[in-house]
Amino acid sequence: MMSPEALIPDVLLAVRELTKRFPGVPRPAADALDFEVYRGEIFALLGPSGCGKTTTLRLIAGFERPDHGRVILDGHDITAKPPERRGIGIVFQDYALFPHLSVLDNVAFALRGRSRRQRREQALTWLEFVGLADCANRLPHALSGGQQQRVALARTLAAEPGIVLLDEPFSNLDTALRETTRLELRALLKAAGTSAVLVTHDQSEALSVADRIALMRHGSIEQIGTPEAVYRTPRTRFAAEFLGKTNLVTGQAAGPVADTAVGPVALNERATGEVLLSLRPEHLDLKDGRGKPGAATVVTREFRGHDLFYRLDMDGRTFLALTDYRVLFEPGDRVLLSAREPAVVLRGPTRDRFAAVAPEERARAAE
Amino acid sequence: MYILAPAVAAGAAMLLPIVYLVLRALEADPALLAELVWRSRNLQLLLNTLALTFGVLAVATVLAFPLAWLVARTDIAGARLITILGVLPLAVPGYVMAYALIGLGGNYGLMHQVFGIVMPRPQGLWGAVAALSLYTFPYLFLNLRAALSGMDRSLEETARSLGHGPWAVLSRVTVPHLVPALLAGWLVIGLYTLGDFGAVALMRYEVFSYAIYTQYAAAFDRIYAAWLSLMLIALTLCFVLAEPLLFGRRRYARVGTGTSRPMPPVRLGRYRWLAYAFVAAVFLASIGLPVTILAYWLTLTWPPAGLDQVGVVFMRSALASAPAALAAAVVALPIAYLSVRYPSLLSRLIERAAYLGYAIPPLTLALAFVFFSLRSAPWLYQTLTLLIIAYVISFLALALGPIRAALLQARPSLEEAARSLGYSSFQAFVWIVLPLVRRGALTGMILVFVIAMKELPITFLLAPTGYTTLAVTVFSRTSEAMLAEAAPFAAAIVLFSSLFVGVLLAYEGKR
Repeated sequence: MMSPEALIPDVLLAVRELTKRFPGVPRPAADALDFEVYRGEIFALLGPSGCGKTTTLRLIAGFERPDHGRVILDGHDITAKPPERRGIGIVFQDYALFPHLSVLDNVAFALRGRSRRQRREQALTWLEFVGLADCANRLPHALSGGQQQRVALARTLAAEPGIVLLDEPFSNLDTALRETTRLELRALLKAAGTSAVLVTHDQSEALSVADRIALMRHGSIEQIGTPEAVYRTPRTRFAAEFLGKTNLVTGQAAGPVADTAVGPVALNERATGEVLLSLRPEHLDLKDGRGKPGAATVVTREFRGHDLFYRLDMDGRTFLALTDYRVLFEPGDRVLLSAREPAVVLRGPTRDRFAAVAPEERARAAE
Repeated sequence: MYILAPAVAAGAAMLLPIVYLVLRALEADPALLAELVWRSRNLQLLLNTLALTFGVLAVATVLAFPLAWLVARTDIAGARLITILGVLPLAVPGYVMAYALIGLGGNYGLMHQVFGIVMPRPQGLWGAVAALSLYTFPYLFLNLRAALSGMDRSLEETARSLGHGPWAVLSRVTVPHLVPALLAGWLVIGLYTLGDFGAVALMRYEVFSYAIYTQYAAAFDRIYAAWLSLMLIALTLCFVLAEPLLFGRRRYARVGTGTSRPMPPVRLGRYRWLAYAFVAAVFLASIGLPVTILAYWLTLTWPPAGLDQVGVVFMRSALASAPAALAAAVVALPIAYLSVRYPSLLSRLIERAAYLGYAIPPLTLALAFVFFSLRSAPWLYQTLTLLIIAYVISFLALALGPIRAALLQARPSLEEAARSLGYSSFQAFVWIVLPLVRRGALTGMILVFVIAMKELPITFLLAPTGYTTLAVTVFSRTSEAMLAEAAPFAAAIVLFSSLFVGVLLAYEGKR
């Protein structure tokens, strides 16, 4: 079989059927993983804790040995190489700054095989790049969390790796710091022209920093795509629920529409028979439904400034709706729900695309 | 791999002495063997040993607990000074304390010569209990002090708010929280007492270690000495194993997060003078006594005979102790690294073996090395090398502690970061791990060095003929009632050992 990465010139990192089992754990931490990272892109591995994303990162870096599969960097199979000969940089969750070395010496540590003067000069250049040149002579513990992260990034970049891996880069920062740091980190990586793989359990981090995300669950990849695509058209129930809030609705599909509890809704693709649909809260419209059949009751209303978040009850089923500030109802009001956008047809958790299609085929076969 | 091999070798070396003791013990033919094991004298030795051990534990607790409580929980003035004084007795080894007690009584003793009071020389059980408990109580004091001052105030306050009175709080909350500290202190003191040889020999109290020595040195009955050694090791193991059994799987560390608040100090009020009287009495006995006796004997015949030899003898002690300290740190490093980075059954066993060396009574360890060298390596017998090896095996655990603590603080991601920057695992170890454990290794080396300087039984049995160290000189002169001649050497030990106390306090302060 010809390797596909040879055909696509801008694939930088390719992971092929990567599998890793830990003794005593029934489910593999990485289960035949397959994905590519393109040159210059920021790629996020997103998933709940224990989904195997950090293991995947450590397999790529070479700190764990895979049971099966290959890691290919820039067309070279590096699966058997030790970490120090892979040319892969990693920024650890705890930043792993050497506590006995100054900030400058930490960065200079990455610049091997050069004269002492050259190392210091280049380290200072890298510190300037991350905006920390004036902290060069401090010890790491005298820096704030965000500064430590930037030193760790400068140190990693100084070694001029082929790709940078980042393990939960924002988990050790204050919530207030996280949002500005995200944009900063993205800007620094883009300015350095580096490709990066980021591991995170925080969907908003992945959505705002990454060019593409891979949603992981139980050691395998559930869906890969741009943040917009994965959010707009989740492939599975897990993808729909993990990325943002959603309403899961069952319905009877007949071609482009399905009959559901909120009435007939348009579908993003044709389907037939029983389907599971995802309707985002911001795609639901609320109208006055006093005395009308099929109305829902407002349970709670959360005023959030620029929008309103409603929790609704319809015959024991809960619906979430996000409306703009003009749609005002009180708890106890009766409202009618309608979908503004097509609902997304979800597949089973497996890669089996026939789960939803099967009834249609059965019907065709019967004809 | 370059870590595993030396660690396994060191672990195996730790087990060597026991293997040789067993081999030697099994040389007896079955009839003799039964007679040896069931000799009624053994039972007497066992009872004596237990009486001594529990006597020392009881007296040490009576000394240490009030002192720790006063320092940690009350508004007593000079708590810092009392803490230092409470640790200082460690500078006066058991045999020097015995020397001081012996120098107190008798015809030529201080009490008769200065005060005209004829007091019998302390000896036997109570003499040994006094000497050993006055020397060892600081171990318990340190543990209790840490536990009392580290306890979370809100625990006791919660108990009070749940409707428990002050006594119920003391018995249900405070004391249970002191159990680990008590057991840890008792274990150290118990092991020391079981293994002590100098004080019991000077006090002529027949316990296992003293009997082993007399069998070996006087009766030359080495098979019986080996059997007595095995019995003593078995007794020691009972003590070591009793700790986790009593401790169980309970946890006493704080559960959950949030900052803990220290206790408000208890006001002593009019009991203040009682507290000061107790503190004064303890320190007069534990520090004042040996210092006074040493000063008395030193001034009695000034300049004392052999004063000019002190320097040479001191150098002999140092020449054996310094390489032992260095070797202990070098051996401890791979063992600690293995147990911290690659925890497995094997690494746990190796670490256990290292602590076993510390638990084996030094006299039996020395005896085992005599058997080993005579049988398998006669070229090692009575060499400095063998003495140093025995020191390393006996004190390895002391070096292991601080190195392990330092390694625990060096996170594995540091080494991985170095490797991702292009350094091999060996380079990462040299450039990242070594600098981080340097301070811990230094502390471990100093601990081993100072304790080896005052070590008696191992030196006594294994040192080359004529290689008399400070400890051996003090012991042999005191046992021949040459108290004045022993004084300068004992004073040298006490002065030098104060260094040990200094290190211990510095180490304590950092935690």
